[in-house]
Order: sequence, then C-alpha cells, then structure tokens
Amino acid sequence: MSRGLGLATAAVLLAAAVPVAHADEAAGSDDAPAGNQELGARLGLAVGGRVSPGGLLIGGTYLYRLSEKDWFDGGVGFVYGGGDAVCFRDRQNNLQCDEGVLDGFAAEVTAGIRRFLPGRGDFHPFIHGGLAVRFVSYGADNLRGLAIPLWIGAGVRVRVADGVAVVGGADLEPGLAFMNHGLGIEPHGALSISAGVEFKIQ
Amino acid sequence: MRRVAAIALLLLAASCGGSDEVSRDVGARCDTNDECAGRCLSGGDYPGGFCTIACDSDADCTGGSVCVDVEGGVCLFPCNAAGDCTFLGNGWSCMDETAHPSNEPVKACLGG
Repeated sequence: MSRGLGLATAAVLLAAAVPVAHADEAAGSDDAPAGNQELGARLGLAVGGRVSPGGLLIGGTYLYRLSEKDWFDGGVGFVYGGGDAVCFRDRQNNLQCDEGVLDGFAAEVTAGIRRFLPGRGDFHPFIHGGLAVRFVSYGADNLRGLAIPLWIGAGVRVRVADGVAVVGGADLEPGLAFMNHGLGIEPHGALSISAGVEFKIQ
Repeated sequence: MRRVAAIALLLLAASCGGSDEVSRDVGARCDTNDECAGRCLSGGDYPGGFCTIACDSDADCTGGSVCVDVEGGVCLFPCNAAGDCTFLGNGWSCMDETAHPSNEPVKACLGG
C-alpha cells in the first residue's frame, strides 16, 4: 500500500516538476513579477507532528526564470523545534512515536516551479510546487530519518522597491518518511507559513 | 493539478493517526528507565517490562490506570477478570492488590 502510494506520488511529481524552459522568450520584460534570477530569505513557523518536525522555520530561496509565468523555485530550509522523548514500545514490541507538532529538527532542500498568477500593480500571487528532501531528527528519542514529501503552496509577492520584494505564503509538505529504529516508512505531513524578502540579482 | 492536490490531502490525512492504549507513562514495554516517562518495572511481576509512574493517588495516573500500593505506589491497569489483562501480553493476570493510599481492595494487572 505504502509502496504503491509512493510510486504514484513519485510519478505525479516527475510529471509536475519537469520544467519547460523558455528563458529566451522571457528575458527582458519589465512587467515581469520577478527578475530573471533572485535570491531570498524567509522566516516562519512550521507545524508537524508524529515524525514531521515543527517549530521555527528559517530558509533561503533561489528563483530562476524559465518562461513568462514560470520560475524555477529552489531553496533550503531549517526547522527548529523542541521536544522531550515521547517514543515507546507498545505491548507488541512495536516502537510508537507521536512527536509534538512543534518538536524536532529538519533540514531540507526543495526544488520545483513557481507560477505567477495574474496580479495587480506590484501584487503578484503565485502557486508553487515540487519535491523536497528532508533530513528529520528528534534528538531526545535518537530518532532520525529521511523524508521525501511533495511541496505545494501558494503566496503573494509584493514589490516594495526596484529589485526588492516581500513574499508571504503557506506550504504543505505531505509525503513519506523513512525512519530508523524499525519504524520504517511513516506518513509525513507538515504545514508552514512564512514571510521573507527576495532580491533581484539578475 | 487536482490529482496532485488529492494525493497531498491523502498523505496528510494518513499522517494523522492515533496511538496504542498503553503509553510511555503507563504500560509500555521496557528494559530500562530511559524508555519510560517515569520508571521501568521489570522481573517476573512485570513480563516484558512495564513503564509506570509513581503516584500518591489515582489522580496522578494516566490512561485509565489506578494507583496501587506496590513499589511504594505506582500506576497499574485495573481489571475485573484475567481477560482484562491480555492486552499486556502473555503472563499477565488480574491480581488482588491494595489501592494507594486508601488501602481499599483493588484488582490490578500484574504478572503471575
């Protein structure tokens, strides 16, 4: 069941994440919602649970223009939560871990596509999605793993100065996590909200 | 896009689940205290090990457990018949014990 779901997820991701590069046709438009290349930083809150870390979210983003509406949207992120040990062995000797929604630590790399929707003035809403790879850790339980979730979300970007924009949005990261201590494959799900700033570098 | 959203919601829903009737506080298997919120009781009276917490009354106990006058007062699962203790595994029975601190008779799951 989990394996089948994982394969289906991977297939959908691959289909959704293959970029169609039209950089040539996109270059040079002053009305574009973002520059050809941009770097950004963001700060927010992630909510997880079970084996999905939550807490303070700090991240960086990189945008690369692919077409009139689409940008490659990549980044790194770190989630810092708290938490005491919560794992235990049930009477069948299976490890049970139900970590708190603001517990744990995660480091992730994301890659996907950001599509800008029709905006007004300096306001540019967008949707984005792709794939993430997350290292997941709960120190108090000595529990670690690797999660491969989908990464989907939406937000708005507001240009505040020439080459500078503030960005806010929310993201979901549902997927699967491969955990140690015999937990094996576990469902993974995290919700985050964040705000940040993006700078045009080209 | 709708399919992606549907799969996302499915995976998110699957990530929200419940746990067992036992917990790290009371009832989990253990070999050492590190595996428990309180202490790990082991030996023949606790087959497979038994996480529990010290108590002064039933109010200190979680998960439906009661405060029993063993080991200076610890939380154990109450029972009426041997079958009530089978969820703890082989070797567990319903035993006559004394409630803590009332000293009233109480039946609790113990090895034996």
